[in-house]
Amino acid sequence: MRLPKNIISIRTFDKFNDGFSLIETVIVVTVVSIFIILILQTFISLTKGYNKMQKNSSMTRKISLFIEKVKKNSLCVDLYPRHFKDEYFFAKRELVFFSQEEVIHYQYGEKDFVITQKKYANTQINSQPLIQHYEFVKDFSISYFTQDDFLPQSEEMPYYCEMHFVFINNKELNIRMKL
Amino acid sequence: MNKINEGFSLAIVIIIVASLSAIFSSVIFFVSSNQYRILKELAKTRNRAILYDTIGTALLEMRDDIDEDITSPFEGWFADLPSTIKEVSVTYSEESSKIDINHRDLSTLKRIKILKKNTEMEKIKNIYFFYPWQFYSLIDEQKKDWAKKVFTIYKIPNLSTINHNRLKLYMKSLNKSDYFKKMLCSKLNITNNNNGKQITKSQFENLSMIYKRGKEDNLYKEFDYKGTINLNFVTRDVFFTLFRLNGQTNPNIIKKYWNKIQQKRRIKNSIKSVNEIFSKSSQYEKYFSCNSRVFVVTVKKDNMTLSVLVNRYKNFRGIIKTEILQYWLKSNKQG
Repeated sequence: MRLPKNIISIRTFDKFNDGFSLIETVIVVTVVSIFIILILQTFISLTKGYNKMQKNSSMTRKISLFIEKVKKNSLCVDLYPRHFKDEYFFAKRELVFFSQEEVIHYQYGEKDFVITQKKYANTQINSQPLIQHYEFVKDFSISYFTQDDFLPQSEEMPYYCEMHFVFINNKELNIRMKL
Repeated sequence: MNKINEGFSLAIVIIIVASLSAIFSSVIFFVSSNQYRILKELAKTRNRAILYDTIGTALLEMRDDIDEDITSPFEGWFADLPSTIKEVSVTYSEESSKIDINHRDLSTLKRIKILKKNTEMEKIKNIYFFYPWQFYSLIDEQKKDWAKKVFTIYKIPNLSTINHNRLKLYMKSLNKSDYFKKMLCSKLNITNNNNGKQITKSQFENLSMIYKRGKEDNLYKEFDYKGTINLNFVTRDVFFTLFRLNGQTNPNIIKKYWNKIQQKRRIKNSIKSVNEIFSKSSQYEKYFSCNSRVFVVTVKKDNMTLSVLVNRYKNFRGIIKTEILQYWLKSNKQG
């Protein structure tokens, strides 16, 4: 026997009303609220962690690119024919040398570490230098040595140097470079 | 009640799963992209280390247990050098058999007319070339490619042929003291170097007295006294140009000598002595020899190439030594 349509809708409405007693509503709302808060908290902490990780990773990447650059310069120093001594500059926190036909200037100032690269040219031709600042270098110093591992005399040309870098994450790096 | 609860759970579950999936997939993507980058960097560093290691092994091959004074592409130590070391390809090219432009009188270049028309000899007289392009910039545009095959700046100066003005520049580049310069120049005057006479072995060995005790080896590293152009490798262009630079204008004489060299090469026979080519060998011994001193060794791995300029010399004890004078590292950025 088929029931008329209006009877079905009344019965459904009754069922719907059955589920929303005051206690049930309070419990459901509380549980759902706690659940939503938990999800939001998780989401926020995940986002924070993600951002931190991204920041660290970008810093690590910057540092690794910097190390790669310094290593490349130090592995390909122009050694022969050797430039005249007055074209070099050797100091505790500053160095001018030649690598891959470029004049490279390392300088550690109060704020950051600066690398200036310029194509080696005769006096007639001038090229624009490329200046890069690295604020993540916390400290930088250079020690110079002769071929016999002694400190060079005033007029003596160093045979190699050891560059000591300290980065913002307190990681240290030593690079030895033949000059 | 059942129906409404089911719908509610489904919506919540879909939202949670979707948001969690988005978060985790982005984290996974970030981690994997970082890992890929790190692996790429590691591979690059490892390749570079392999290249430098291979160069070290190649240099050992160039000096170990070798007591030959001949360098030839047909036989002996040079022909026996390995073309691969631990699956890395190695190539050796000889650089000695080019004309040393850094230590010769540049005014002789007028004889072969390769300089640009407006070049003033007075201005270029004191230029010491640190890079090849500095020299090529003085050359006439049409003769640049030719000059690249004939001249080099990477040779160790020969005291029997060096121009005094260029010698001073070389010593300046080595940062030698005034005392050293004075002593060397006075000793060279004693040996009448200004007349272009061949310095003898004992005269050369006496120069080691100028060096500090324990540093005598540097004489053999920094100077040469015998001819540096190896007759086993010299090209026709270099051979003819050297004669013209030295004022020999009779082409028949040069051709006669060149034909002798060609005959030897046709039957893949090494020239073991300068006497085999030149009848009056004493005047040619300061230019030519059968041994080589400067080489370019190149190793390749994946997209990275490392070339080194090697100075191979006998020290004061007669032991063969190698010294790297220059590195060139090239990497293909796409790799």
